[in-house]
Amino acid sequence: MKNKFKILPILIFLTITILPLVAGLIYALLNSIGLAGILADGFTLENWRIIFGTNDFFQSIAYSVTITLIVLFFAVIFALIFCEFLQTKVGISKFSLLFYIPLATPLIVAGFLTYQILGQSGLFSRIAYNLHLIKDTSQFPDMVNDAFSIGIVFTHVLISTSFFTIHFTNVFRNENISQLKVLSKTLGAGNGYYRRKIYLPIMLSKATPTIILYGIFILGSYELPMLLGRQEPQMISVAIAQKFQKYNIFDVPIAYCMAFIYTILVSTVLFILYKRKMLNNEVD
Amino acid sequence: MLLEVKNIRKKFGEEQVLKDVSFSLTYKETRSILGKSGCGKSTLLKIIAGLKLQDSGEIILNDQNINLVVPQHRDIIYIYQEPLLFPHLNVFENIAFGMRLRNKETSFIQEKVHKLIDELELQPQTKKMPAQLSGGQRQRTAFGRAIIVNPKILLLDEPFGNLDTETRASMQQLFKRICGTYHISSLFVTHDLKEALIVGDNFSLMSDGKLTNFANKQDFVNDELTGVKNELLFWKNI
Amino acid sequence: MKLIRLATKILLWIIGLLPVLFLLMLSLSEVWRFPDVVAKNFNINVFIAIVDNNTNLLATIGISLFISTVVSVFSVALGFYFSKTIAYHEKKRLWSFLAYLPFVLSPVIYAACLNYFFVVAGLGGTVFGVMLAQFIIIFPFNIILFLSHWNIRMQSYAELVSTMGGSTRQTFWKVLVPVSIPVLFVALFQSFLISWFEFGLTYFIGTAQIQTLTIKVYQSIGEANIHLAAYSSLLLMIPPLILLFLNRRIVFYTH
Repeated sequence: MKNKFKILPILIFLTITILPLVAGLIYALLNSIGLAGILADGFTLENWRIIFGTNDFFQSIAYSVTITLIVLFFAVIFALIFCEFLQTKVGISKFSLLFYIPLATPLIVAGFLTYQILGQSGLFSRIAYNLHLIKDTSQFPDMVNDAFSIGIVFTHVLISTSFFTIHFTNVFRNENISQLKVLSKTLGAGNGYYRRKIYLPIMLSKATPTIILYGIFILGSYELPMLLGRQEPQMISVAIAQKFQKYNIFDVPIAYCMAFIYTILVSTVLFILYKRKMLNNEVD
Repeated sequence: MLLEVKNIRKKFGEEQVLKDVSFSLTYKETRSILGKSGCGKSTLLKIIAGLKLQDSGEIILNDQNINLVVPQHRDIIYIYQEPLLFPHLNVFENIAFGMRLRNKETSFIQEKVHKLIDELELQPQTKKMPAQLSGGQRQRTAFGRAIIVNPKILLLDEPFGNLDTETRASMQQLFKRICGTYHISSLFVTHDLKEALIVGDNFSLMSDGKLTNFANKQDFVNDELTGVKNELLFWKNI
Repeated sequence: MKLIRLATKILLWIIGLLPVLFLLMLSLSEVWRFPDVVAKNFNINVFIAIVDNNTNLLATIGISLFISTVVSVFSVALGFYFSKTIAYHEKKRLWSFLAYLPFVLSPVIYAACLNYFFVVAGLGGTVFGVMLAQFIIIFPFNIILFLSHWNIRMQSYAELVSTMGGSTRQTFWKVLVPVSIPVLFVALFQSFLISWFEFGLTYFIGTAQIQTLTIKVYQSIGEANIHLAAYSSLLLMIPPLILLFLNRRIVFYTH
């Protein structure tokens, strides 16, 4: 009887959590091979041939991964610096509230702000014009919808740095790193040694699962690349969403194919984390 | 006989934690179970309380087999080493908790709880929250919470383990006094030899999953494995 | 030295609050032509805009509040309840992994995959459909959030109450829920924020007909109405900003 009561909540949990995902995946797969949807005309691998035969999709993936890695690189470095700064120089003070403000900003608003501030007719461009640094908007560096995705990277780095600073601060506190620092100093270690052998290894090892998970969020982000991104290639969410939303219905099965592959890729990364016991701060 | 435990066996993975554990407990008796950490004491208590299921063996309470009886209906209360007071309730409400579960009348609860608070010397702390109490006060509150519902058996799992020596000593005396006043039957598990001797009426030794029962205090003292003799020798040679 | 420190602090606060100040400037103005740095024609028309039928802002705020409140309450309540069984289950790690899946996927891609089912069920373009879609990703978030809350201590509370004769229901309502109030508040606010900020999934499932504040911002940007977009953005940011200053732990919870 007790076992029956244990199974029912698990079944309900799976129904809410996994059933829609599995259903969506199955439908995406069936649609992509011509067995479901308006264009279903019998089994076909044509859409998969298009995906694997052209570079577009994989360029999107590669572009998304590149952006993600660049954002994570800068955000983690900045956050590690800010975290140490907050602990050693300032302490947890009202100043640290500043780090929460970006997290209270939705991505659609962040994208809008970046456009209005960094755009060629944005706030900084106007300041530059009034300071006679430029004579025309076209002379201001192109930082949104540009080839280097400066706007996307900048905005993501700003928000990610806040997130990681707060996260690292918690890790710092939970791992008693300030006490370890004092201990290392009594053993003769300098600041550089402490940072290389204690601060960085502990922080990065404890925060790695969170960094990877956050990277997955950035990879799949939609609002910022939609507002600030380039036309070709697009980040994966935008690429898939646009194929769904455009008026060319022949793009829809291709979009389902892309969505299916994306989901499998993300699930695989998550599965690797699960196998390595890196989810939920697991300990053997 | 109030409680009879017969041939309890329990395995966790490959490890046999309890090996044919048997003992009995009579009314108004405190049986001390002495054993070091990790020997299976807590597992035994949890099985008796119904919080864990044994692999084999019987638990007979008042001549009835309670193997399949859920913890709520066994009338056996388990007291943890940590007081585990409910942080959202003050001392009065923590002690009254069991009575409120049974929907007793407010006036009855007031009378009983105040009487017990006096017995436990907790009058100044009545309205305080657990975070405002000392370790000894918390443990007294936890104790009061357990005995107010007159359980058939109290299971104490190293209840004074976190206290300093002086507080521990006063708690041991308080325990003995309260047990006498309220006619409590209890199993008291401890790794402290002196504590086992102070609180117990009967004695057992738990070692490597096996329980050895002693007929009387003298047998317990005389047994090499209990460590009493070594202790006496130590103080003699100082 | 003190003056320099004070000046640095003020400067950092200005930089930190620049986005909010900038949005405020755009909201309160009607014109921001190049090369003006500061906008012109400041007025309080923006406050009238909230009840203006043309902007539909009041209805938008209402829908956003309604959706976020309902979704967060249900997600937290059910997440709290079901996470308990999962946390003490022998296959906890597996269930936890499965809970991560819908949560880490891009909401817009997930919505695209689910869209067919919502359309077939007649839920596409409906408030209920949007709420259901958001619930599907916020519920697992709560499962993950609460998993670390159900530790040995909470289990011990439950065991203690059962030995005292308490039923499962009494244990849940008289002890587990009151003891969990702080984490419940954190979960409620976090869930509210996720729903409040949600754009892609809402846009897809709602087929742009369900106008939440995020959709409003997007549509205003598309119409090149930066002043309405700025005002809608401010409205979006107000709840988290207020709560941030009240208790920063509510905005961001880590364990």
